[in-house]
Amino acid sequence: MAGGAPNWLHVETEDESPRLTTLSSCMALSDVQCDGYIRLLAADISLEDEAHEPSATLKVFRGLKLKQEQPLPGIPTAIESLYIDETEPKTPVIAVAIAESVLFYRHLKPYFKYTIPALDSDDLELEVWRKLPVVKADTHDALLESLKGIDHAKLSRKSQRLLQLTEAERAPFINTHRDSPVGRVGSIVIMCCIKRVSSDANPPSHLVLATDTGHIFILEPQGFNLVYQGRTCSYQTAVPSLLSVQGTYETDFCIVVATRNGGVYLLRKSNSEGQEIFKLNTPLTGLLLLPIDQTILASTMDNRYQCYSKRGKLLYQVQLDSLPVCILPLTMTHLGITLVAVALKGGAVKFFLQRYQVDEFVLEETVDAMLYGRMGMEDHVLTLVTQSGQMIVKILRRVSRFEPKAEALAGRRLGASDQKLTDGSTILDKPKKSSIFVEQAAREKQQAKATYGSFQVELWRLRHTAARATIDAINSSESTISGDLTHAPVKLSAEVCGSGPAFRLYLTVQNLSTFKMASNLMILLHADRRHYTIQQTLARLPSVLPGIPLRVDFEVVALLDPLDKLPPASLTLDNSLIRVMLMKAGQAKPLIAAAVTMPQSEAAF
Amino acid sequence: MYEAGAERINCNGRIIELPSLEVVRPAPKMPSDANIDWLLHIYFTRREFSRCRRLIGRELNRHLNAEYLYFVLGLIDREEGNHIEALRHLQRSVELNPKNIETYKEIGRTLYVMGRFSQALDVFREAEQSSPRKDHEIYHYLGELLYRSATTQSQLEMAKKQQDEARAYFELAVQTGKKMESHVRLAELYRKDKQYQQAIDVLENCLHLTPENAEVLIEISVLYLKINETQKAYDRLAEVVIERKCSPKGLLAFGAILQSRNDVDGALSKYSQIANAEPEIAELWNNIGLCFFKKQKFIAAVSSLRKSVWLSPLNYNALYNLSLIYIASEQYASAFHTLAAAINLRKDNAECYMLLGLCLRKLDDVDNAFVALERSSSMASGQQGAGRNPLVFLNFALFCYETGRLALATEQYNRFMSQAQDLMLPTEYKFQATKLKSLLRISNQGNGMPLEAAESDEAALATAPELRPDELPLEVNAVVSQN
Repeated sequence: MAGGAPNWLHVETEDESPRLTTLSSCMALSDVQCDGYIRLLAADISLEDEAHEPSATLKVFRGLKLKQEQPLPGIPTAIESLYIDETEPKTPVIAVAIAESVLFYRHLKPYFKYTIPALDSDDLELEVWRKLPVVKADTHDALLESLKGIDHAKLSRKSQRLLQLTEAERAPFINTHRDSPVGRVGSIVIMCCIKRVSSDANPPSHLVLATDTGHIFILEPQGFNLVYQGRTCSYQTAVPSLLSVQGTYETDFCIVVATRNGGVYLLRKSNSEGQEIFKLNTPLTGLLLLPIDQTILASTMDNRYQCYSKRGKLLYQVQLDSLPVCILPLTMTHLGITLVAVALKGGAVKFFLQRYQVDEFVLEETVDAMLYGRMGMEDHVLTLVTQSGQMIVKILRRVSRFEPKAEALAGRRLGASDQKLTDGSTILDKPKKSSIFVEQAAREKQQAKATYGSFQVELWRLRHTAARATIDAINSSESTISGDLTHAPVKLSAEVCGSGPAFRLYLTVQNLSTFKMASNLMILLHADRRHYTIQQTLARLPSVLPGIPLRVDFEVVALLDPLDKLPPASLTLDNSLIRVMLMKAGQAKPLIAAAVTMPQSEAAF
Repeated sequence: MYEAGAERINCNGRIIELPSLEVVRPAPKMPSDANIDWLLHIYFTRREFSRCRRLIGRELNRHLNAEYLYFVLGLIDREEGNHIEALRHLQRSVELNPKNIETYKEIGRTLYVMGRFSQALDVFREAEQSSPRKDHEIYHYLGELLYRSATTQSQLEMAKKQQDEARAYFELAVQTGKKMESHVRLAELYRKDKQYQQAIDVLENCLHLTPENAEVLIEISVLYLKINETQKAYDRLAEVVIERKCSPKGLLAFGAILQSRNDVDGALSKYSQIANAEPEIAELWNNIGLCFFKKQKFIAAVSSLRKSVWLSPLNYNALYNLSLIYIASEQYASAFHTLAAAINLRKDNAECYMLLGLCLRKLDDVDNAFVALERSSSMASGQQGAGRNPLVFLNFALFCYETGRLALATEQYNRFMSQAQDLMLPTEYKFQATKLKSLLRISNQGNGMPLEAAESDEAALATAPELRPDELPLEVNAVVSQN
């Protein structure tokens, strides 16, 4: 990795390499001919051809040369090569999962077909199928109607098909299928191998099957019995999409299943119903249960590569640059490690050892499928199939060692803060101090009193000016009739009721104009706070129409000394005033500023 | 009687079973059914949407159960931002199988993405009703939607109710699932209700699920700071800071803890990291200013704090600290203005009035100084417990002594003693107090030494700044709640 030669040697081919459209699960390595030369088997799936039905062929490669091909009866979900017994010479069996069956090939000849058991159907559906062939055709509609009452997903296929047919097609269809069993059969969506007992070189294995009905089966391929039956989880809607298994059948094993909705479930030998380990918001693109540390790796649609413990604890996660398309474990027994290859959209393939990326290479286009293992005579061969179908083979260099980069480790372990201090220890960008600022600070230190004094002088001057302007404004409009000619003339009269200490002040506003309306008026009361308390000092008036006087009233309470119940000494006849101002909104100067003389308050008892 | 399809017939009064006909005549097989939902799913997760669409287009006509096809079509439309189409397709999928909760959830999510929250809420409520199990995703979304509607709710009572309901749902989600988002939300709600301990518990649980999660660690440490568990907060933050993936929020909190432990240089180094990334945080400059203040670099302190005030002119803490530094650097006129601004923002702080009084005294405005100190003293005598500050009385007593109000000085001195008796006071306070005590006694006999008193006042002034470090954690909390 560092500088020198790449870890992976590219295998050059003299002639054009074969084209292949496949998935990781549809590739296998097998000694099919029992001659010690491991060949590559792959299902070539053709979906894109518009003219033909989707179809698939099983192809056998010797090295990169296509040696044999055989059409398959459907699109396989997975291909596995396994040994079914201990007899010598050991002959591998190829298992191909198509829809609800597993086809077994021996020496590339069809040898057995296993079909997973059907699920029980609804009684109603059985009943309908019993009646359909015998009743008259015109009653079919009613029967079909009753079928619709059942969940569509729970009907058997022939019922589902029947419901889609036109009326004319129905009768012959019923006739043909009258006797076929009514049963719902799930399709196999995933298949993989589990060793029966722990490993010598080529141990006999069982097959793990997952169906889209959520069932997990383990099939024993000698007598074709189901030796284990489990469910992904207790409810219907969990359809498995990915599966990974570790352990051996005889001792103990774990199966992790990811569903299409992003949930991940764990099944054990002792526990045939899946426990939810974690649930992601996005579907997974890859799932692995690692053999040694028993951690679960998941690559997700939101470009993350995450590692969880079996209890659902997120151990680490790596943010990837682009979508992970598929992941593959690379067990390197000679190094004692398991790398994980992650193929990213765009063509990059990264190799992770735990959370550290230890190697990577970039191809011209996205890798769709990967396979690793002994091929031909070489032990560590990585086969990659790209999106356009190109097959690329790479061989691991024997001297390669995979170790996390030193800096990556250092970044985690050692105090990163120290490093950051040296490189990022940009001296703090302090706000600049201009010389004026510093001078001003020095001057202030010596002449604080003068500064403060001049501020106070200015403040008082300002207050003085403001007070004078106020008095002027009030005095100039001191009358009971507004003198402003631009607005309707208004008259204000006042009247005080009560004997104290609570008074009521009645104000009457009269519009003297003959045609103009006086609008946007406000009344503001002002009194010495030491003498009178007024709850409401401001009132917005409605528009005053000519000729209709408006009367408003305010409550005024004279303050009394709490001890002798007498008005305060500062209250004299001269200053027992309440100033009433009539203002127009948006105008600083009041229209009318009148002073109402308050009568002397009686003492409260 | 023989009936077609019956396996048993009645023969001579006995029921016998007919051999199954299937053995004789193999039942015709269904036409090979290429159910390639699984392949579709794989292509979907690989984001090969055009391939999916082609595949769906071909399968749609002959597929026996098109539910999943419509489902994927809906998801693709959503990924491509075509929400209306997505809803239409998901709706088709629901029609084909009304019992599939996952489809409901996707519809709800789509509505959520579209911003049609009330509709989304209805969908999730429906999903909750029909779900046969406790689905934490539904709970999470219900909580999320209720929380959202609570924040936009105009009626307070309604909002409170919805928030409580949201919290109940998040609690359910946390109990039934292991989603980090639910934990974080729940903690947020607890924090809003000031139930810090619960919030911490929730986040600690969350940490068991996702250790090393920087956001959660920072959140926890901030909560620890709120309940004054500085050590725990420090431990949590140290994990994050060393991991080198700390956000400004965490760095700020970490710096503040270092600062409160008098590690000014450490704090400054953390702050400078933030200042590089995100310089416009008022609280950051406030803390930087205090660091410089501690290093007795007044000019730098003043300019940092003024930057803080520029960034956020109505920040009471920054104004208070700035005025404090002005006083310490003897710029009383500026201090006066800053204090006036601070007092206009918050009129209930005794220390603030005390500083104003001292400042005015320095400016020879004795009358106003007296008014300010008197008000501060009357405010402080209302405070009991942790908030009390005997320094207010000491300063007032010194001032009274200096201006010849000996009786008042004695009274304030006694108040100071009564408040200070069970507190650990800096020796400087005690020194000033004993000095005042002896002076009062002397002056009772008629031998005043006002000059010396003036000096002691100066000293008391100098002690005042030492109050601030205690305030620092508070300061930081203010920071964090604003972020």
